Amino acid sequence: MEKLLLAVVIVPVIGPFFLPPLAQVSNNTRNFFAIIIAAITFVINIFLTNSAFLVENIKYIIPFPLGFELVLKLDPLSAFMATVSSLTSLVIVIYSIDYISHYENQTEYYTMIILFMGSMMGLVYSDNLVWMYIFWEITAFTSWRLVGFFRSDWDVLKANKTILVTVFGALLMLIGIIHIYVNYNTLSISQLKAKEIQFLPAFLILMGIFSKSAILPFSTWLPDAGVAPSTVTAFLHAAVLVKIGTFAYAKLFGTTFITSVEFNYTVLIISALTAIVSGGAALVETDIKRIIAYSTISQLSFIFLGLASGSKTAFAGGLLYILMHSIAKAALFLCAGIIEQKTHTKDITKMGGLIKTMPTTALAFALSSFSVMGLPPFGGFFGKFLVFKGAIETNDIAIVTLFFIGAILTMLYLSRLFYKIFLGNEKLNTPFEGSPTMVTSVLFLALLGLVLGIMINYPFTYTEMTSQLMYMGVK
Amino acid sequence: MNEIQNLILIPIILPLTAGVLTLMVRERTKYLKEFIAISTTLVSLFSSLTALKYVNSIGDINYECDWLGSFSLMQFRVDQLSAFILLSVSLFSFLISIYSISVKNKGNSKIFYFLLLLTQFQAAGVAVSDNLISMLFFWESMVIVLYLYIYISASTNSTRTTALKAFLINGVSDLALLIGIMILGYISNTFVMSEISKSKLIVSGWATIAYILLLTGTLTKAGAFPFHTWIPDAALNSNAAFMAYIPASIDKLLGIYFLTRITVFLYTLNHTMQLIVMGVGAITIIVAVMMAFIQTDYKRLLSYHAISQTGYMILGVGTLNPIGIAGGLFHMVNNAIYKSCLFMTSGAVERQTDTNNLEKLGGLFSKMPITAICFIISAAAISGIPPLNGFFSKELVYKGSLLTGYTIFFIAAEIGSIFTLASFLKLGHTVFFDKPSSSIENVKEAPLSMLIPMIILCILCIIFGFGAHFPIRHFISPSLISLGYISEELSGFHTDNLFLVALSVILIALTNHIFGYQRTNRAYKASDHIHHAPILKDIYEMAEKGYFDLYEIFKKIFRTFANFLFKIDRVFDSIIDYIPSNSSYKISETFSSVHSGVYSLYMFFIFSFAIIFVIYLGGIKW
Amino acid sequence: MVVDFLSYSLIPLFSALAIPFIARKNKRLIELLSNVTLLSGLLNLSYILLSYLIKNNYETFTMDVYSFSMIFTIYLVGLSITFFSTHYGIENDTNPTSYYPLILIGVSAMSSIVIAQDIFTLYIFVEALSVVSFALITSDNSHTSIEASIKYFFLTFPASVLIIFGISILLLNHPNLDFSTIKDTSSKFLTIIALSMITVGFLIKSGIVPFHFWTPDVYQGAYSPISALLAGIITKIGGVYAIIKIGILISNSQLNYFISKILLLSGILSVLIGAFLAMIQKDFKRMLAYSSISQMGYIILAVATFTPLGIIAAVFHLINHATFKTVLFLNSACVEKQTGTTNILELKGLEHRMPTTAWTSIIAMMATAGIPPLSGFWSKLLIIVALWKNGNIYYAIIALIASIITLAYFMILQKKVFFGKLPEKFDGVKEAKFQLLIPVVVISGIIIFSGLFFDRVYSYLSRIV
Repeated sequence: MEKLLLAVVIVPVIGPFFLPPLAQVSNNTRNFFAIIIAAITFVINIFLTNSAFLVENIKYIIPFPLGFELVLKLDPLSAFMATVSSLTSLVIVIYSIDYISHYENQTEYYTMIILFMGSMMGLVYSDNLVWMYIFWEITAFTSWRLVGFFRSDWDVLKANKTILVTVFGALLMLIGIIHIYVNYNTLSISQLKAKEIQFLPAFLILMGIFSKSAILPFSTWLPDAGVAPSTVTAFLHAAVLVKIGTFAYAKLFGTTFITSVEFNYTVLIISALTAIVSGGAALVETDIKRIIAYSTISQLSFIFLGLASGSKTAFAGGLLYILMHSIAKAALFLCAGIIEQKTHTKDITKMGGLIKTMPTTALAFALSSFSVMGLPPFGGFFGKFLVFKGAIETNDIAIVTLFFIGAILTMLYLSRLFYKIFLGNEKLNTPFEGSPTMVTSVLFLALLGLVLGIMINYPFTYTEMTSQLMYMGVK
Repeated sequence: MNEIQNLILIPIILPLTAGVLTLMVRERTKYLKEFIAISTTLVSLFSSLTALKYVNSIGDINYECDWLGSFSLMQFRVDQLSAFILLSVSLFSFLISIYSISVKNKGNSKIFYFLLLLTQFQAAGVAVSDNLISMLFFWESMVIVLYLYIYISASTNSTRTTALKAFLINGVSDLALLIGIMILGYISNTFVMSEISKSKLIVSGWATIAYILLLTGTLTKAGAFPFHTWIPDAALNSNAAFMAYIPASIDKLLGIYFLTRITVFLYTLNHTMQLIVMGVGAITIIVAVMMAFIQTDYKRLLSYHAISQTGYMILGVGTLNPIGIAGGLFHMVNNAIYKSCLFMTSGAVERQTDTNNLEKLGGLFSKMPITAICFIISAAAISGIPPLNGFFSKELVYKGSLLTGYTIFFIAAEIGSIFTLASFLKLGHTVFFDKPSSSIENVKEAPLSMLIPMIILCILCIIFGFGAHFPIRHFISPSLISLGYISEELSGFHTDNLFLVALSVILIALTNHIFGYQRTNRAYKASDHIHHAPILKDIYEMAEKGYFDLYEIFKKIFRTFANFLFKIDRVFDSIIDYIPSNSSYKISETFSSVHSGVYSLYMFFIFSFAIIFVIYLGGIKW
Repeated sequence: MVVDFLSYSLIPLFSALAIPFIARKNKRLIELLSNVTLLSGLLNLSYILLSYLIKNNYETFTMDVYSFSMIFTIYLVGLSITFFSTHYGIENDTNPTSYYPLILIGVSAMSSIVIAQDIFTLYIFVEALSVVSFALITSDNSHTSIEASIKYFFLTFPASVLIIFGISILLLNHPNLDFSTIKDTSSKFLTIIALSMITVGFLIKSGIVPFHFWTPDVYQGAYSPISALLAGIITKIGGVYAIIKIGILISNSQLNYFISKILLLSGILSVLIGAFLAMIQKDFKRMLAYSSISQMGYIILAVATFTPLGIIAAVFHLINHATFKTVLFLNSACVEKQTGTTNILELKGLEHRMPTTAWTSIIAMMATAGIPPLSGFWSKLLIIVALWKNGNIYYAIIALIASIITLAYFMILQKKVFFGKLPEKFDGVKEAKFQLLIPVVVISGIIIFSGLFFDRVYSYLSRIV
């Protein structure tokens, strides 16, 4: 089991560096290998998830001086997060093969995307703050390369914005980590369990988290990063990157430190405002990917609501929301990818009536938007529902109202988006659907959201047990 | 016990599976889909009938299964009220599935029947759920079905806009319902209705907010003012089968059902809240009927009546006394009966003449007699002509509202029925008796598959009229018992002064119609003298333009709001984007201004700093 | 002098003396001789180092770790410069017969600085080093390089004055100038004055703010391989080394308070000003020069704590900085050779034409900006922790946040030089020939591995104190 734990990190971290040489052999070999790595990671994660509750503290330790030792530790939360992200990553990599095939820098693309996945694995499983930070920065680096995929000045500018904002937040977080390191004289998360944390370091770490998850005031790098290819945006904005922040929050402030009420309240207020602001922006924007990006931001604030509201059920709901949102939003971005590839535009005012020409994409898009809107029987419903439970248990009418408006906005901008793209007058005629692989993977994700909603018992029981087992709560 | 549980599962599970089955059927295969749908709904009708019998004679049926981990179960509990609703739901699914065989413009029939069965599944689920969360699950998932229902009926933009409008109105109000339910669960630590009702909630603090949110949800479902505005649009842009099924029957049933649940079963309302509910009812009656009166489209006119009739039910439930509630519930089922019958007639007429526009229609009595008779009966029923079912339920509502001591509501209801009758006189006169316009020739009677459900419904109208005690005894009183009221003798043909009032109402309406008809000599213009009356004229225009449409207003508000928020977002963007870069560039400029490249300056700097440092170091010690 | 390392300073000297006689005519032989000399030394050193690093226990490791690592760095950089030069085609610009011997002499001088046991010897060799540098900077007799050399001479001249003055003051009340004696009786006022003069002098030599005015012009103006040598190692051994040495010496005496004040101040100033100025530079090498100022600032900050951790961090960061600055400067040299310019406004989209250069420079930049898991991250982390634990929390925070500026200007550099669409005029540009790439690749490897195997490196360095 320890070996598995090591493997799930090592394989995707070391693996990508074999891709460039393989690219010399042939592109297909490279793509195949990339998929294999992703698949292996996913499978191992499934195993780990299954045994997460059964076996007590599985650890793999690589000694480092000064308490910087690299400890990989298996707990339900990490396993859950790892599974979610590796699943979506796998689908996205498969989708990429057709999508990315006619661009430059493919080798770098695959290398970076797998490396990103690997560092994500390292991040979720590492039981040491400094290593969490290290993998965190690696993800920042890879996202920089990925966002700048198209290499035009504008793209590179946005890529730089991405890395600068996230790294700035990460540095603030590092200050917080060092603060903890000097106070408690340890960086091991499991040793810091159930310790109380002062407001300042907590806030600094929170800034790091917010910069990664694009919560105000750091939010706008996320829509700007929409210049990247849609697979990248799906990968970064939906599946993995932004979820790092939510995971870190769940891990540190949900299950490790005992936070103060004021701190949680701060989180709730900030995320509530984010939900509103980004929702409104999504209602105004006309660039399809920017809209979806803004919707990601607003949904992320719902996740934070669930995680920060201080009730076990809401925490479980937040985790559930992470799962459902990853799937649905990935599907949305990949649909956007198909549309963009076929219509050669991202401006929704130029689209319309696409439902005739690309019905499958439309179906997938609709299903995923229902899931994001939180309509039963889709998975998103339960996430939103439980999260709202948390909102009400904060017993604060302001927060409830703000998130209510946020939810309404979600419904509005998604229906507007769907209407403008697929219904409305036909402005341009796109003769055919996207390629089979792409459409299938999109439809798979969309239906997965539906299936998970129908057999909600399994995912929810898992998250609920997780929160029952690990959730610390507020002081 | 177990087979009994299956009994209530049949109307839920069976339609779902059947619906999925219909999707498998190829579009081309004839009558298979229809057969599946009809048989399924028939089976579920019988099973719910048996369930009702069981419940009335023996007692509640409970069923529960794992659902949301340890957080919540999927809990069904069928008491008399639920059984009653379940029965009516299945009845209408059955009738509509027969009727829609020969509805032309219902869109892709495969999808249509799939949706129909799905609706049956969801509606039944709502009716039997005892756990609020599972109820919400079924309830909110109906939004998607509703959207698709309207969407498939035509591929025009107006249809799509209407579908979107319906979707958004219901979706948003469902969000309100969601939050209301969450609050309910939060303040009473359980989501099980029968548990909550053990200690009824009092309207105060969170509970008030919860009640208002729940009310919003239910009123929207029932299609009451001001959340009704999608129904008239749907009437124009969708087919009669849909109108007869969803807005006319299912929505009413579920909406009023849950309204009764919250108002009577979960809460003990205070005075203000009661007035609000009754007020909403009264306003709905008046506003909708006034709008209905002036319509010149068959379905649209009916749709406005569908709204105004809701007002009676809300009014009845709002009275909070057994008679009023009984009236509300009775009116609910009656309205469903004759309103869907009316929509069916409209569908039949539309099918045969390809129009629903009153200006074109006329003199169809000779051509489609059965449809005409069905229309007349159900029109009489809706206008409360004794001794049809509408009369009795309305009478109960009047009584109930009088008992509350607020005559104003009674008067409002009466005015409502005056205009109801007037507008139906206008409608019937135009369509079936007025001189035919040139456009319609060689029109034949509607096909059998359309007539059968209409006839069945008309018979029901008459039965529930003459034999009003039967439904009251078997459906209404048990429901009242399950709601915790001792049932008293409600039915019967009363010759008290209410009867005289009813008569006078009829007379007023008649005179009004004749007056209007004399002025213009065209039946469909019979409402002009009110339509073009001084102030009303402008109000009507504004109403038709949608100035009073909550949806439009909210759209405007949210658009401006969103623009404002976008500005804020831009501000944050500049905070993390421009300000840091610009400021750091400024700093760099200032620094670099020192680096002029002049040796002497550099030299000066180096020496002076060196001396300063050294002196500082030594100086400390001195 | 310590006998362990004597050979490392003498052998280069001998071969430097030999070259003009035995190999004046034959250029190849010169290159061979100089490369072999340094390579043999490096191999020897790395054999010792690796044998211990892999075993990861140091019972039998008797040598002074500080000097050892310094000499290792000197040889590494020196060798990469000579090797680079042999394929860089210097014969077009300068005379190999003087060029290589000068480098060798420089290496030997630096080694002697490292193994010097008293301040005066150290000073002598520092001066010798500066003289060598004057000569080297002007290797190609271009205007800029001569100007640079003059600037270097004039603006570092005050340093010599201060140092010699301080040494003479020291002589007043010390029997001899051994570091050990200073260590013992270092509380007297005159000693303080003297030490402070020496410190300031070496600050000037290492081009720390506010004495940094010469660095950018010199690095930019100098002959490209030589600017790599200067930035990579010379200014460090000639300046910072001595400061760290003093830091080690007086770490446990009470006068470090005053010196640490100054060091903190100038350190943080160099971090900030260097970074800010680097952001607006239009020239590749000049930007690198400013960046090296700000990195020096980090080293000085680490020294200023005078704690064991701080010293370790300082040494570690010094080595790291030597490695990645060398890489960057050599890359800039390659770019200049291939495109004929170092003006980043003209350059664009070279990454597909020069992939290795692009990626090695990305690695080096990330290391400089302290992006994990590269070596730079660990040394910076140690510096911050040391500062924090020493109570200078605000300095720590500022230093930490300043690395976002570092990242920023490197992002600008990347964007301007390597990313973007390739303009037509650079269509012909090819990657530099692989011999030129060997040094940077090797050093990049060292950067990565010293980051990945930080535990070994740390347990080795932790024997400094």
